[in-house]
Amino acid sequence: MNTSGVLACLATAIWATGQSPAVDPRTVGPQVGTKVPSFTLTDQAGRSRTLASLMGPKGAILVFFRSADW
Amino acid sequence: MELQGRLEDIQRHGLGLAAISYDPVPVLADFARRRTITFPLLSDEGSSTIKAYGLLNTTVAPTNKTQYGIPFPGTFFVDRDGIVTSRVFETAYQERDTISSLIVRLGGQLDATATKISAPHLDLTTFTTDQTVAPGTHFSIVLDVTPRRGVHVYAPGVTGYRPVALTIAPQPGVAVRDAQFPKPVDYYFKPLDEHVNVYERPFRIVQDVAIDASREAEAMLKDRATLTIQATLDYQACDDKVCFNPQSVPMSWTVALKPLDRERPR
Repeated sequence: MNTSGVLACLATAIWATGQSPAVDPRTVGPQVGTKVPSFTLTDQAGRSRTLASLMGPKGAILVFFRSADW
Repeated sequence: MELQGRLEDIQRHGLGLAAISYDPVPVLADFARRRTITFPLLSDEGSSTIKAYGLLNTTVAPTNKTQYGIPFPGTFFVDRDGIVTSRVFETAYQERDTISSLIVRLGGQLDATATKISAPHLDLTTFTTDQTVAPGTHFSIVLDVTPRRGVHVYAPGVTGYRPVALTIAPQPGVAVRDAQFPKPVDYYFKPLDEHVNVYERPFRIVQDVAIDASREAEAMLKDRATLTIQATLDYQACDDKVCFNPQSVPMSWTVALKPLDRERPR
């Protein structure tokens, strides 16, 4: 396959992804062995929290959830 | 809320805990108050952290004003350097590993009440990581095995002896997943000039189990208050002189069933 053929395939693949909302959630976000981004966010008591400030001696569990509201 | 209930286990395992959503602080404050949540619930209003993590849920259209900005829900275990050591993102929203099960699979200890099972040549104690499960729950059966003095049992994959095997009786609504066995040790049996993989010290078998979340299973389990899982532990114990008869020890666990929790978060 020549370069333009590859590009056409890629374009088709991207188009197909754009059309289909199906995403395998196992492929999203940082994978095992990679570093997660740091952050500064406000907790329920109004305190500012960074990733570093949440760490226990062995690390941390970060849970991303949909919403507490619905 | 399962996480709050396991907070002490999580902290004993040396881990911090935080849950992140796109909710404004007052919503999180109200939620924390209603559910008595003491660990940090972090407000990512505008979803910039969710986006930085690459977790923005692209199945929600930007025109959907209520839901746009939610993440693909999931959990990361990170070490002190922020490197991901384990992650849980399930394909179906109702499917999830329990935190207790994850802690056990990562080698942590749980504050659980274990039951003793009598068996020849071995001391056995067992518990389930969760006492209440729902369709979609992935949890674990834990079996702690202590070979008595001078005795060893054979590791999975060994031929010529009956290796240790935990066989869960099949039943509708219950999916048997992976079992975790620790690394065995090499045992040299001089009379036969034979090397074989054994366990001679205490070891833990972690058997993952999932409650089926299909509509059929949900309907079938709807009116049941409990679920009993039965299994057989097969093994053969030997010491340095005698190999005892292979054993087959029955055991069972009963967990409470609740309906599918359609509410997020946990």
